[in-house]
Amino acid sequence: MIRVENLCKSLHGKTVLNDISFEVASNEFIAIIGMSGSGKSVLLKHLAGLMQADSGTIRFEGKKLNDMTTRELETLRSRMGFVFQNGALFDSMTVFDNVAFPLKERGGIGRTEILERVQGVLDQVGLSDMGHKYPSEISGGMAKRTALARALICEPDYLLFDEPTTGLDPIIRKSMLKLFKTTQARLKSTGIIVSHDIPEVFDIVHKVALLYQGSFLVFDKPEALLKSKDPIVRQFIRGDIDGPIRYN
Amino acid sequence: MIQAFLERLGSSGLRSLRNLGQFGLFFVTTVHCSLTPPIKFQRILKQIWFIGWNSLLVICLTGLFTGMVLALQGYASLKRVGSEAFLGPLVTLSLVRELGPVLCSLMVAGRAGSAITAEIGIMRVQEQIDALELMGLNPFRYLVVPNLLASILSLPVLGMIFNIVGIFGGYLIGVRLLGLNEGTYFNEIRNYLEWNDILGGIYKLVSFGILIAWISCFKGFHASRGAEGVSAATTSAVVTTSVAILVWDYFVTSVVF
Repeated sequence: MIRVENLCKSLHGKTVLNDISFEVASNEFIAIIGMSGSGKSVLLKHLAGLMQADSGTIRFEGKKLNDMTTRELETLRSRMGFVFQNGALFDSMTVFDNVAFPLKERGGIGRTEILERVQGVLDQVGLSDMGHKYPSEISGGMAKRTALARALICEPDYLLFDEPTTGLDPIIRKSMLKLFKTTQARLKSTGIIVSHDIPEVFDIVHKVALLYQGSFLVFDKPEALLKSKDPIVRQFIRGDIDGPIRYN
Repeated sequence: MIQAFLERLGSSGLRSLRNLGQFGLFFVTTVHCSLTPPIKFQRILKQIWFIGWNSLLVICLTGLFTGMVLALQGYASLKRVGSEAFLGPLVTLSLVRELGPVLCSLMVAGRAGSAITAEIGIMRVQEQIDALELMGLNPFRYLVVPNLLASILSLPVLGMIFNIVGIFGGYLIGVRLLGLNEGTYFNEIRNYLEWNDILGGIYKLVSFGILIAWISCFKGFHASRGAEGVSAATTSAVVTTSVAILVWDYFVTSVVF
């Protein structure tokens, strides 16, 4: 379970996260949506311990992230699968080595088992024959699926996705979203996905949070957002140009 | 106006102080990770190959021509006072005590140090370092410690090779070209070269190795703003390392010799 309490963060004098509190129960999968630059990725990076909040606390299974020792943080992270917006693949390694990397580094697993597990997860993401290629030799969609395979290889307890389907064609996007859902359900992981894929992402999550001006304007079931009368929620979900949301 | 100036000055001073603190903490963390398991031996070997073996050609070339030019200049100067016989010791002591460690380190900083900064810098801006952290892996152990240990191990060997090739270069010019007696060249080296000279050179090389790895990794680790940021970090790493080597050389020389 993840619990966030009164999280605040300012960057370059601008308030990005303003007193955010929420909870994600075990086995729950939530989506965070919001305008570009609204702080969704910043929030996700706080949850992963990559950024430090100005105030507020984040707890994993009751334990404060800030109170964790380096070892405890490393152990927690080894139970996380994080997919970055740009994939963050190691460009000097092949697709196979990228996916195998976390397993090899943690040790304790034989070469044959690594081979089987990597091939298995590459099959799942539809990259069975791409293991020998380098990240520079594959498409953006393939790179994202490689990043997903790398995140899934250790069967993590927490899945954090930062816009994993941005820039993909509709078919791959839908198949990826479906894959996220089935994987999350199979692993019984606690998942958070930052996404702009509205309304597709609503089909795979239990709850949706709309981040607006540093706070959660709404954090509810997808159906509730779809029925919402709030003009900001309605404009954002429908993608209307006219409305209370203005881009400067 | 004065207040604005003071504010800018204070802010700049605080920023410098913070950077210095980060720089020091970076080193302390690296040393701590170097002394505690797990140590990534495979990565260390890979970096020894990259820093040491791949620098060999440029070190040999630089060493050869440094020895040759030392012999040319030295012979001309010694001839004025009728002491050509001391050409061997002149070339050897100049190389072993000073030019070998400094030039060798500057070459390694330019070749390997810049590449280390660029590699780590690209990993930083492409979030690959964040990815490492999120796999529960310590990026210091994976990226910084191997470079530090490889640099400490490689530099003394490269420096010794630089010296030997340089002495050979001096021999080519002094003996083969200018006609100095071969026995005189080598016998005088044996007479004047002491273990302390060699040890002093090794101390220098080890400390320069630490400086190269420390600065190069630090600059790469703190690179930002995409390709432009990596380029700036690489330039800054080479310039800072080169200046640091020359400044540190003075202090080591004054203490060791």
